[in-house]
Amino acid sequence: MTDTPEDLTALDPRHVTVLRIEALLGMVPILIGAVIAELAADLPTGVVILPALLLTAVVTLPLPKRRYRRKGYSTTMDRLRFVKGWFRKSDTVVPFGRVQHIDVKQGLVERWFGLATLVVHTAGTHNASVSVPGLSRETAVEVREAIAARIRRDTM
Amino acid sequence: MSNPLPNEEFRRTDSIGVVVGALNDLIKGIVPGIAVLIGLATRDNVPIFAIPLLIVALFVLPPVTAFAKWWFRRYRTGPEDIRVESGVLSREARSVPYERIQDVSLSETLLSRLFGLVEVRFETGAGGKDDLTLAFLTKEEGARLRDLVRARRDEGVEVETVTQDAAENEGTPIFAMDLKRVLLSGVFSFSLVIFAVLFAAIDQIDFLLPISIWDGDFWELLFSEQGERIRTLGRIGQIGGAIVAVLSVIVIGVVSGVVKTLLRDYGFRLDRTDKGFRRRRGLFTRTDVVMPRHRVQAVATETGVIRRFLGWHSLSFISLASDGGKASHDVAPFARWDEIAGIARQAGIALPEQVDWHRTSRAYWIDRAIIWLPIALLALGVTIWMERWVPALIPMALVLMIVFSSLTGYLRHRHALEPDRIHARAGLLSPRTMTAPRVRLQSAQIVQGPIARLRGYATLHFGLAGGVLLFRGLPVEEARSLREAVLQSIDAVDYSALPR
Repeated sequence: MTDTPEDLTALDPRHVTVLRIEALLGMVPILIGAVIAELAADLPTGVVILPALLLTAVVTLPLPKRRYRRKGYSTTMDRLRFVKGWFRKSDTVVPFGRVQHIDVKQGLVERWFGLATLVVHTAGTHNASVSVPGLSRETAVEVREAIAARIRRDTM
Repeated sequence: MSNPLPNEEFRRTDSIGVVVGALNDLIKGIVPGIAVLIGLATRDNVPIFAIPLLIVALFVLPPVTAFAKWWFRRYRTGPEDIRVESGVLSREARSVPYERIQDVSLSETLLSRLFGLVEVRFETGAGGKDDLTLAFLTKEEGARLRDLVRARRDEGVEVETVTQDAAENEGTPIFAMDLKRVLLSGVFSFSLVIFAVLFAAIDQIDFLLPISIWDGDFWELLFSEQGERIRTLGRIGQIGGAIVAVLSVIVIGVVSGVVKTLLRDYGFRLDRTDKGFRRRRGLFTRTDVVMPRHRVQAVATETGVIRRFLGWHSLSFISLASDGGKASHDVAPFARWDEIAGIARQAGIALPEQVDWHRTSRAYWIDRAIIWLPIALLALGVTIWMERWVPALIPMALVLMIVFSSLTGYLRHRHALEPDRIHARAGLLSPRTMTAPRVRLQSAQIVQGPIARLRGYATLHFGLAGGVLLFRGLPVEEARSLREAVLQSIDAVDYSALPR
C-alpha cells in the first residue's frame, strides 16, 4: 500500500488524519475570508467560494495521503533517519551519538489521536533540531529511550 | 554506576514562582496598557466593554496564565536524565541526558531575588537558544540540581581541570605580524567605505555647510561650471583629468584600507596556551581573545587573486563562539601557506595538502544556468519590443553574469574526503577552503528537488556547530557514499567523548 522508500518504517497511519485535520484548520480562515469577500463585494454566489472549496478539498484529501506516503523513519545502526518530501525530497540522518537532548511533543490534534512528534536537538547550526512527526506516543517514547540508552552507554 | 539515583516523582517548580511570573507579565503589560487606556480615553464613542476588557487583560490574565504554566510544568530528575513536561493544550516532554549538560547556571532577576528564587538553565552544546530552563526554583533546589548534574557528569567523564593561572600564562607564540606585514596586508584590503562615511558625515552636518548634497541644483551647477572648464581643456587635458581622478580614488581606497587594517591588526599576535589559542591585536582598542582548542569545529582559508600569486593567505577558525559579530575567528589574517598550515595543525585540523579533489555534477551547473535563460530571453524580448536599449541592458548583463557564474561553478567547486577530515573548496583563482574533522559533524542531510532527482544530483548538508558545510550538486551516488563515510566516523566517537 505504501511506497515508503527503501527499508524505512512508515509513520502511524493515523498521521494522515492528523495532517487532514491540520490542513482543514489551516484553511478555515481562507474559507471565512472567501465567504466574507463574496458577501461584501456582492459577487454572484460561488465565484470565490467554489475555488476556495476546491483548494480545501485538494489540500485535505489527496495531499496528506501523498505526504504521508513519502515520509518514513528508521532507527537502525544507532542512527535516526527521517525521509520526507514529495516535491523537495529530504533525507536526514542524526547519529544517536550527536543528539543533545530529546523532546516528545504532542500538539492538540496529535493528542486526540494518541500521536506524538519526536524532536532531537543537535549542536549543529544546520539541522539544530530534527522533528519526526506522526509516531504513536508509545513509539516516540521507545525511540527516545533507545537514544537516551545509547548516549548513556557511550559515556560509561 | 556506584550510586544509582532514586527515580524521583515528578514535581512542580516553586509555587511562589507564580507570583514572580505574574508580576513579570504585569510589568511588561503595564506600559502598553496605559498607552492604550490613554488612547481610548481621548476618543469618543469607545465601546462600553473596551475598558473592562482591557483591565481584565492587564490584571487578570497574567496571574491566570502564570498559574496555568506553573500547574502544567513538571520536572523530574531521573537516573539518566532530567525530564520536563510542559504545555496546557499541546504537551511537550523534554529529556536532557546528564551527559549532554555542559553546565548549569542559576540566574536571578530583580523580582525573583525578592522572593529568593532562581532560574535554572541547563546548558547543552546547542548554543543557548534551545536550552532547558526551569523558572523559578528556590535557591536550595537550584543548587541541588546543579550539584546533582555536576556529580553525575563527573562520574562518567574525567573532566579536565584547568586552573585559572594556567590560562593566564603566556604560552608559546605561534604567529605574529610585524608592522611591515600589517601595512602590506592593509594594501590588499582596498576599501572605498571612506566615501560612504564622508557622504554620511556631510549629510549629518550639512546644516553647517553652504551646500546641500541632496539638492539637484547644486550638482547641476557644479557640473555645468566644471563641465565648461573641462571642455576647454582639450583632449589631453580631459584624459589626464580622468586618469588623475581614477588614481586619486585608488589612492584613497588603498590608504583607507591600510588605516583600517592598521587600527585592527597592529601588533597581531597568536599564542598557543594550555587552554587554547590566545589572540591579541589592535592599535587603540587592543583585544585579547582566548579560543579553546576543543571549541574549534573547522578551519577556513581565504585568499585573493593577487594575494595568492604573491603567496599570502588568511586562516580563520569556525566555532560556536562569535568573534565581534563574525561567526569565524580570524587567527592569521595575512600569512604564508606554511604558517597557516602550522596553525591549523596546532588546532588538530590539518589543511588539505596533497588531496584528491573531486568535482561536482556538470548537470547541476548547466541546470542552474538554464533556469535563468527564460528571464534573459524575456528581458531581450522586452528590449526589442519597447525599442529601449539602455534600461534593459542592465538586467540582461546581470542575468548573463549569473549564467556565466553558474557555468563556471563546475570549475570552481571541489571537495575531498580524507580518513579523518572533509574538505570543501570554492573559487578558481582565489580559492576558499573549509576543512572539518569528520567526527565534529553533527548530522547529515541529502536534499533533492524535482529537477535534481530527474538529473541525478543532490545537495549534501552537514550539521556543523557554528558554520555551514554544504555541497551542492553532488552526483547522488557520491553524496550517499560521502554521507555514509562521514556517518561511520561519527559513529565511532560519541559527542561527549569529543574533547570539551
